[in-house]
Amino acid sequence: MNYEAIVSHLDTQGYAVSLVTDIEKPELVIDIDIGGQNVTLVHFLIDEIKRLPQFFLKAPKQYDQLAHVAIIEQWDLGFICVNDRDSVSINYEQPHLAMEEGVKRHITIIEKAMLNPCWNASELLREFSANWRIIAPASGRELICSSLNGNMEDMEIYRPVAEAKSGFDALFLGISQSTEDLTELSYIRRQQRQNKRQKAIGKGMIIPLESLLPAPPTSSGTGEWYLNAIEHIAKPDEQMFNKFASWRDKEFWLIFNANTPSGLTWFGLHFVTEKKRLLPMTKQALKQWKVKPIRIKLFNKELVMPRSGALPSLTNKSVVLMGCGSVGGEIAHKLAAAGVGHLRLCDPDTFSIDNLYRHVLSSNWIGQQKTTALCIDLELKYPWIHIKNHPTELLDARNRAVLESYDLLVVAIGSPTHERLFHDFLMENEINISVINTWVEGYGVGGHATLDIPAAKGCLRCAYVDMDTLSRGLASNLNFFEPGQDLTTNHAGCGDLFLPYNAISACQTALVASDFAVKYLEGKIEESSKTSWKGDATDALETGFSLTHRYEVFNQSLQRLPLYNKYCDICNG
Amino acid sequence: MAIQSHFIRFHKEIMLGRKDPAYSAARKKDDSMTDEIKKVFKEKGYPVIDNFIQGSFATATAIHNKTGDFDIDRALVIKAEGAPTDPVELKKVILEVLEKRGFKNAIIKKPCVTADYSSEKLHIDFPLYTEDNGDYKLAVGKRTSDDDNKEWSPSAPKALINWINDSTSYGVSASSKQQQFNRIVRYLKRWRDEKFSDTVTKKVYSIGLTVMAKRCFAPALDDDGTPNDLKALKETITNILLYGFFSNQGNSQYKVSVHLPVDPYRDIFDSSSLDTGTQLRNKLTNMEEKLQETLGKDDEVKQCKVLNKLFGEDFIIPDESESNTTKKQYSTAGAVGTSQGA
Repeated sequence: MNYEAIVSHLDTQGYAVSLVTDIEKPELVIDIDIGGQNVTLVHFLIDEIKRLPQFFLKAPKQYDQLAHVAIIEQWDLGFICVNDRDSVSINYEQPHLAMEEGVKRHITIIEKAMLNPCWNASELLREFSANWRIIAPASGRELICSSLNGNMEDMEIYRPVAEAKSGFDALFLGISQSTEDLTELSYIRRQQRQNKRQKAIGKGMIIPLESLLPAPPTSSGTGEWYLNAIEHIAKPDEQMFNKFASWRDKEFWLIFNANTPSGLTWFGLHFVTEKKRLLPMTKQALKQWKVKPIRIKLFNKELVMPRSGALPSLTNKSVVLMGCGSVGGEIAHKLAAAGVGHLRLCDPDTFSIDNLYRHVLSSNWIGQQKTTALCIDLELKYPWIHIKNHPTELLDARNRAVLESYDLLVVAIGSPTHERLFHDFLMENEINISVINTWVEGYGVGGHATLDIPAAKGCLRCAYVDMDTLSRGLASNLNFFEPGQDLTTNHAGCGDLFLPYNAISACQTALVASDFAVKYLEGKIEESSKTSWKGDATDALETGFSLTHRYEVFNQSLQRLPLYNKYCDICNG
Repeated sequence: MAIQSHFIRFHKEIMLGRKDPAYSAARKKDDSMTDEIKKVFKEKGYPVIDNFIQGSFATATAIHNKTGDFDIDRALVIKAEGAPTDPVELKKVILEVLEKRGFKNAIIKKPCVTADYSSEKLHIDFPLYTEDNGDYKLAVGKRTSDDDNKEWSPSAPKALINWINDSTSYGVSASSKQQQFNRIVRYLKRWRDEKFSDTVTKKVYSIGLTVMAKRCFAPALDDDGTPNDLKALKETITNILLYGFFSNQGNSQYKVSVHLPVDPYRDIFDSSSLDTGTQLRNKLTNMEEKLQETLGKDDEVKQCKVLNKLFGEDFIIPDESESNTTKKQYSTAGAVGTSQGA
């Protein structure tokens, strides 16, 4: 890197910049004046620009605590966070410009923190969690806390599983009464049952704070911070806290939570002393304890679901899924991942070797009921889901009471005959349930989903009008393959016929159907709709199959279109 | 309902297919006579090596004639090697069989032998061919023809059927487009029966209309695959008028000329008068205008009124309430393979 050129450029831009090279770690120094105070920024020279050039604040302790500045005590420097995410694209081909941009961003942060106390205070709280992590470095032995709502309650603390070096097993585990909403197969409930962990010494408690002070800038200030923090325990909780504080023990685990501008934040303190004592409540008492800030990994529905991409609004929604094959299996996973709280999986099939590569299940499940296997897989992964499984097929589900107890029915069986029969039942009996029908076509040419909402115009039969004769068709008019062709193939005779498509086609189709389902459950779709994805037809054409006019002209992949068909006798009868 | 459903209804009214009860009954009579002819030909040393249906039943373009009459064309084929030089000799054999079956009005026409079931308005034509390695020759000549007018004339009956039924150039949804073509031909035939006098109707040959339509067919499907027969018919007629079938003879008189696409490539309208050509061109021009007018209308009742005038009473004008409903109609297939899986 040509730092002379960079210095020259920064100089022309009006910065008081100098290059110090006769020291162990050569540095570029910029002096600025902020509100009458002299501020020095330091950049250690680098060989290559891979990210926004980093500047440090020199002698940070001379200022009030500044937001976005983490003190590095041994160097007497402050690390300035300018939110340099991976998504920021740096002009490394023009290093002087990248350096100038870095300088500007660092100065902007420091100026704002020093000149705008309100913003600084607010940011210190908003960044509380990040600042706490600075004084509580990652140890790989953090504490998982599964509190449901953060209310004050006792918590049993369990040590990591012996010799575990990674994963959940390597973490401390805090279990409280409010973990009861977890599914039986969730990790925490299994830990409770299996007794693989030893209880840690001491007692734990979840403590909500009414208000919060900024995190201490260094770990040495933790004790003082704690004594201030317990002054902010809500009145109704004081009695319980005092009861807790009347216990004597060698260790205590305090798990705090408090609201910040960026939401409820969680953090902890671990108290250790040589002999059993009361929880320290004064400066004097504190002297007999080692107080260590710890990180808390919160494992509750309210945090984990939205943070990891699920929709909390779906936790009270219930969906029945008919068909757990390649498409249905993917749909089950996607609905669970979206946060749907209640699933009923129905399919009479067992998982076989023939299903392996295009099905979501692993080979461990060969020979098992697909619904059972999926049920266990999903409960293992999604801790707050409630699943029932039934080895039944679609036509066995012609039951008003059962159907109307669900918010949505998804049919992924790839059987136009059964789907039309079932639709007849729904229509004749005026069953009030919305239905998604979805299917994949062979050879990767595409897949489709329809959403039939009883109160809205358009029904499954709209997708089955024979467009040549305008009569009730036997194949869907959404299809990209002409009807009447035998697309099945086999490797072992008649009993082994299958429609050739791969896991990508199944997954793509499941995505289309799942997206429909989620948007419908969220209340974002109110009209009966259809959607298709169109894939490449090379393989199909090379094999000699004929495609439809719809395939040729279709250019609305993944778009939601009205399901209503003006030639449907049900919708226009 | 939309206008396509009215076209489909109209088509159902006019179409005559192999599953039609009238055809089935006729076919039984036809089969019976064909067996008798085959037996006699075998006895005389000219075994029939092939027989097949030709004409509009072979190309799915037959319609119910307004008079209720209909024709079946049953081609009989013998080997070229050993066939008598005089083609009329064998046509007389066919005539004898028919007369023995009680057909008093059976006659030898130039291209075939015809038997009329007058009580059933059924006419069965028996064209006779020789075949040599895929080459066909038609027995041409009447009972009274002299030697100069009797011959085994090169012909390609199967090639003609295949040419009309060929949809390989239609790309995707070829089956739908070919079915649309078949409907278009039937619409044109019914229009002809409706718009021309009985005398001229006979001169606007069905095969002529079919070849014109095939050469100029403009398939029209909506994006969802729904056939748009109104648009296809209009565009096809526009193409016909531009194709060069009609040559201006002065004084607004036109000669129509449409060549067979296969051997012997003769002009189907070779002997037609200027009056036939002129009437055909003028009435096609009028139909094109009416169809264009219909395409511009939104109200399907109004559309149907125009089409009713073009095609006659079988193109039904719905009342307002009916136009807003779709009748339940089931598929005619027992089962169909689909590409659907999960």
